[in-house]
Amino acid sequence: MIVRASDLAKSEGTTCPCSARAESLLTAASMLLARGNQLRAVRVLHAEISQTLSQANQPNTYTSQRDGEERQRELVAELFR
Amino acid sequence: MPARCRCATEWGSRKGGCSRRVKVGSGPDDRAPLISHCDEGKRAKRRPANNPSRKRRRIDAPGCVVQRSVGYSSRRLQMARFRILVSQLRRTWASLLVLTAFAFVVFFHRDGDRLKLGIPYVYAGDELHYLVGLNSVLWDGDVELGNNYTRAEFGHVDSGVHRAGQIIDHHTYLRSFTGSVYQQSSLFEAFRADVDRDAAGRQRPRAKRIPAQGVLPTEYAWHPTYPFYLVAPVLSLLPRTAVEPVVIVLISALMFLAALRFRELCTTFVPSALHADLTMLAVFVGTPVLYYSRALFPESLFVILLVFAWHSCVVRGRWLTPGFCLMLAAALKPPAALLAVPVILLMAHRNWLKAVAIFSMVCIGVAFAFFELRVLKGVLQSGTKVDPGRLVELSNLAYMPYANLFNKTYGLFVFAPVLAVSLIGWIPLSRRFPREAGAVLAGVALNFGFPCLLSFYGGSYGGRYQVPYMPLLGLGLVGIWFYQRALRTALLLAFGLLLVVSAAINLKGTLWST
Repeated sequence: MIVRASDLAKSEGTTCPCSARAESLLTAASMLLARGNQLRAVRVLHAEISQTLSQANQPNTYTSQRDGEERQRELVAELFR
Repeated sequence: MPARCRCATEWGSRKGGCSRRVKVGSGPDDRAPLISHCDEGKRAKRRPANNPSRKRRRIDAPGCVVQRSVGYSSRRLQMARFRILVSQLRRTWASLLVLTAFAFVVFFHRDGDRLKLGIPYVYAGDELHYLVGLNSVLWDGDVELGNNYTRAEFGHVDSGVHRAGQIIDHHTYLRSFTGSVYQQSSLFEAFRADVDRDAAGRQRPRAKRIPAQGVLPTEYAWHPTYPFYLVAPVLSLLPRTAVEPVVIVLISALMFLAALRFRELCTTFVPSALHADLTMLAVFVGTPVLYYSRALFPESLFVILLVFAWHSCVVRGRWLTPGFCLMLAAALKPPAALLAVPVILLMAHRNWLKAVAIFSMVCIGVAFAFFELRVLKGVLQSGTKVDPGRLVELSNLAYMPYANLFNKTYGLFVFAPVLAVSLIGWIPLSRRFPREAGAVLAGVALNFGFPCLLSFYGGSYGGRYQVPYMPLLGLGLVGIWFYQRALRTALLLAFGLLLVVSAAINLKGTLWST
């Protein structure tokens, strides 16, 4: 997923640009998680999404793929709540 | 013994770490000093000044370590390699299964009650006629097919190796001197033993009737022919007998690439490789897409073009590639323009100007399809006879929606029961990704709705007209990931079971349709 700053800024039809940014980052995190062995990168993306969504409970590290998936699930649920 | 250096360099492989091999431990006790390429580089010859690799910068050369440690036995090394192989297989098992299935249906054909390994060939139906059109473009440089069908009747390979010398029906129109057009099959017989013969004793189709105003001996297909000019520069390099197998292998290879792209698309919705793998398997092996992965039908190209366009739009954020893919699809058959709906809607969310550009390109494709038939070939006029089954009729809505889903010969869920699970997956997927799901489901509804207006299923194998939107519908399978663990496990079990059944149905159907 190529996330361009210009795309995020110019996202049409979205009321909140933060939401568009979080969506793009979530998509990128999802693809990285599915690739495997990218937990550190995923954690960075998740931290960024948490910041965008004003969430404070972002874990410092993921010990397994399942941790990353669970966090992804929480963030997706939070974003589309 | 070469080992892989793990130092992280800017130009290292994606998986992190440099891919260069270095020599370590060549002594009898395998205790030679460790050398990383970073150390080795200091002693290496100075590279020329214009060497681009000089510009590359090492990030953490001091922390560079070599995978092999002192005293590593060869057995442990072998085990490590085996583990790497296993982990790679775990990552690519589904892709390998799809590749195996595609290769199997391409190279194995029915021979009586047995299967036989052989060079791929076109089976039946419209495939032969697309091949005739392609051969006409390649070897004659025109789209007039009368001479190509005649040549095939004399034993040439224009209609395929297995149909050489047979009198088949022509999917063409003949024009009269007064301007009216006639279907070839309304004037001439086909598939009959009592053939007619010309003055030289060569077989030719027996005439049923000749119109009073006569007909010209030129024939133009009702199938698209002009798009074949796009591939002519490449395919015309091949010998004539190689065109048929090469085209089928090419379609199969492109379909495999589409399967990989589709898997990547699935991972944009869920982070689970397992769900993405299973969904890819379900769509490309558990549905009639498997049959069309080796068939010279436009539906094969529609699946490929749709997935490429969708991937390019969603993952890469481009508009020109999707526009071109969908324009080509629409130029092959105007109803394929409906496949552009999800891509246009998804792009409209990001940038409406790009969405308008894609829409315009699709319109150009549709316009070209009509321009080809009306102007370039002159076969579509007022009064041109069209098969009644291909006419849009609202009364078909009374029966065809049910038939398209459950008909014993062409029903969607009869051939692909695994897609029933996708309906369950669409529920959470629509809740989590309402915009994306809405766009894709709009595409599914329109592409399902259009065949319901026709009383014809598309013939060939498993409801041909429904094949192009199967990747759209199948995407719902990834939605299973959003369910709670217990329910998810149960659904995955049902999914797995139906996947095996669907794969068996389609594998058997594909091999036994030859």
